[in-house]
Amino acid sequence: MINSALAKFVKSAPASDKVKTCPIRVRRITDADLRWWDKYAKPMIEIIEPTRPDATWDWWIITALDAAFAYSLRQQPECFSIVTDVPTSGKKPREVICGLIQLVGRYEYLLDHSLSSVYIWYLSTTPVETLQAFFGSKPLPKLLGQILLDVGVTRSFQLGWDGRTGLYADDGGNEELLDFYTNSLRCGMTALAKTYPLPSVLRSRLRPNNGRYCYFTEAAAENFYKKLTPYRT
Amino acid sequence: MPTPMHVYADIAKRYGRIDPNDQSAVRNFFRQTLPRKSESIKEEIFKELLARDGEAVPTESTVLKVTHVAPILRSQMTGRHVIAVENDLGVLKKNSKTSSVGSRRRLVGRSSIKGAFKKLKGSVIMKSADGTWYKITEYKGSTNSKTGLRPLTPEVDIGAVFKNATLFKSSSQ
Repeated sequence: MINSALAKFVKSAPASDKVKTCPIRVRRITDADLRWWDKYAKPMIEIIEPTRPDATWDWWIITALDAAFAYSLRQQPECFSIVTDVPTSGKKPREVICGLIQLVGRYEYLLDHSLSSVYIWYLSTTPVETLQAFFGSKPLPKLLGQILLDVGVTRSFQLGWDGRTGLYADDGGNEELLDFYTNSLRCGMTALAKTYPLPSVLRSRLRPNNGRYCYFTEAAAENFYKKLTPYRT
Repeated sequence: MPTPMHVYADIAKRYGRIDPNDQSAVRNFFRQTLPRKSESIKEEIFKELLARDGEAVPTESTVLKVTHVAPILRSQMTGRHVIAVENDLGVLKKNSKTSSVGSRRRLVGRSSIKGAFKKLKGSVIMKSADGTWYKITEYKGSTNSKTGLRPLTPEVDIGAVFKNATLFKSSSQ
């Protein structure tokens, strides 16, 4: 079991050369991060992968929920960004955003509605093409999707939910996205059976359980967390 | 994840009388106005946002679901081209007729498409040969004094028939 007080975000990401690692930071999203995203990441998504589920997301609106609800709702919405530094010819390295995530810190656990969990609401990774534009010939940070997911899992441990985490695999991601979350070699989540009832807040006549809700059990979350442990120091 | 962006626009419209097509106004609603709303309203909005998580992203015409089509007409929608007149409430006029390829039947009977626009303030939906639904939101042309439309044949280009019309390709049935 991961001790909630000791659960830490990753501090580096494996690099594309499979030798080095890229130092990264997980922090609360800032307006500067959003401006960066709108300037460099979003336009690239719209051009290169316009069918990506996040191509139409407006992170200014998504992150507004933090400010609007932070001190009032028990659901605790939170937004984080993953940031890395790219050395420049000047003294100061340049910050590059590797991904953004919005999660709900307190939510009914998909598998057992009497328990609490973290629910990942939005998750976007920076397009490789954008990273390449900043990194040039230098190795790129990898496993960004898993590292973003790890932010949710780590928050779950920190909040005392023992790693319990849920999310909905966006329809736009098709089977590929569902496989990303459920493949044991990648994330190792479990898809909620279509026959399983959804938590009360999610029950909607417009959108029944279609088998794309995924969750981490405590054991699976711990296993996932441990896979990235080498990158936490 | 996620709750699609149109849900935010919809909420801004309902709770803030914001033009849902004005993205900056929607942004301002969530960033500036919402924090000042009462706790109960905020809770209500947040729950709705979560409850609509995973909702399909509509295209211009996904509002035109087959379920909106009256059974009498749905059963006729087997031709290669079908025209249906729909008013704003999604209720099809029962005297609408369909045109299937080869039948040469008049496209629309007493309720002309032109009338649908001008009198019923409705819209016209159409299912093309490949099963794609189209919604025609504007019609200005007139090639037939009675119906304002020519019969469709497989060779007729949809865009040409509905000259001046705006077609939205649908992504769902």
